[in-house]
Amino acid sequence: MKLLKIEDNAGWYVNDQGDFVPIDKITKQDLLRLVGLILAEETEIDKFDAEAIKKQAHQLIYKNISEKLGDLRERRQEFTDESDRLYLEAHEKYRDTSSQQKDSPDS
Amino acid sequence: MIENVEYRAIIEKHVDVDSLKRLAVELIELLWEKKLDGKKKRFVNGLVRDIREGLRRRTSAVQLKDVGLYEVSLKERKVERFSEIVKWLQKEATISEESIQGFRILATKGSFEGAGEVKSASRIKTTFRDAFEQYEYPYEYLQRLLAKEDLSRSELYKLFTKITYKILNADGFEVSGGERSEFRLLQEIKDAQNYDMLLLDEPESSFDNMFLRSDVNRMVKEVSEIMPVVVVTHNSTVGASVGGDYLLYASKEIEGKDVVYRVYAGYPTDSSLHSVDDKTINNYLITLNTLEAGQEAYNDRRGRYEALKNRR
Repeated sequence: MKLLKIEDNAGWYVNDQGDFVPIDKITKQDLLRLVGLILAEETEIDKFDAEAIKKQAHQLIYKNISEKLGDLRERRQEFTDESDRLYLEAHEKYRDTSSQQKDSPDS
Repeated sequence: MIENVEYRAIIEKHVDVDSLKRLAVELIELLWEKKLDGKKKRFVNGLVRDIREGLRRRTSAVQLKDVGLYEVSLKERKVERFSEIVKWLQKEATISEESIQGFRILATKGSFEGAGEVKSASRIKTTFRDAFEQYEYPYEYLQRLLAKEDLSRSELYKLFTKITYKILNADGFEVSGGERSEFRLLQEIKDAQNYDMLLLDEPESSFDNMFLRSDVNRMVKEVSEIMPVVVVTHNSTVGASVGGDYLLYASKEIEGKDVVYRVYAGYPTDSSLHSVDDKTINNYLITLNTLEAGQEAYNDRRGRYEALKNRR
């Protein structure tokens, strides 16, 4: 899925309807949704190109978002790494017993 | 509870440990989710901050600072609450009542009547007229007090409500000057416990005999159980009624052209008292002289008491 694109000398992002909206209209909620998507699925981002974007504001916003989201995509495993999770040991231990219990016919 | 061994049986009687495990798993997963959400939000906040700073550098327009509306309304609410509390403090009421040795100490609160009262409560030499104009509006009043440089912040609380102490006698009336002295003397004697020795110099000078007999004597006796008590007296029932353990009699004597000051000592029951240079003095006589103004006066008084008694 494509999250950010450069077209008609401007930067665009995809909103929750799947439509592309000018990058300077992006809100925190939108950014949070994009972060969620990056971590959850395979995504595509047009690489920043200063020549291809005319407006300075668009350039700055697009550059920041595309670079940081790109970076996040690279290390998404690390970002959601399970090894540093709290109570991982307890979770594994109890998950096994409770799933057995749930699966057993007489429970 | 899942891991507990010691109370296993009791725990299992009341809760299903497997349910507890499922609960733990679900809660842990929820915790992870929330932590990840927090991480995402921090990432986005960092991103937004960078963009905002980048944009700020490229514009000449004055940037608006973030206005924390929540903060503003919270502060407004604090001011309102402050005013409520101060208004409540300014209402007349008795805040404490304590009984001490037959007296009652009453502490009351209320509002200050004028700038002069505020000034005396502050104990500093400055005018409070300007501040007092706002006394009805606690927050404004506070601002004006804060503007006074020689007023210490730790003293401010005293200037919102007037605290008055009243000492009432056993009948519930405010004490007279004499009674106030009695009260103070009793307080002082009571306070003697904190020291090594109690010296009472002429306690008779401003009190009536009844008071001395009943309260002071009782307390002096109590104190004398734990520390030395010295009572200096001239002409009163104190000396006799207090029932001292040891007598010291100071006397100015003229020998030829010299004036000699002697101190005679002895027990109250001794027939004579002795000085360090081996002089003696009749105990009966000096006791009568000091306490009863002499043998003659004593006899005269005794006669009158007896006459009064016979008339009944």
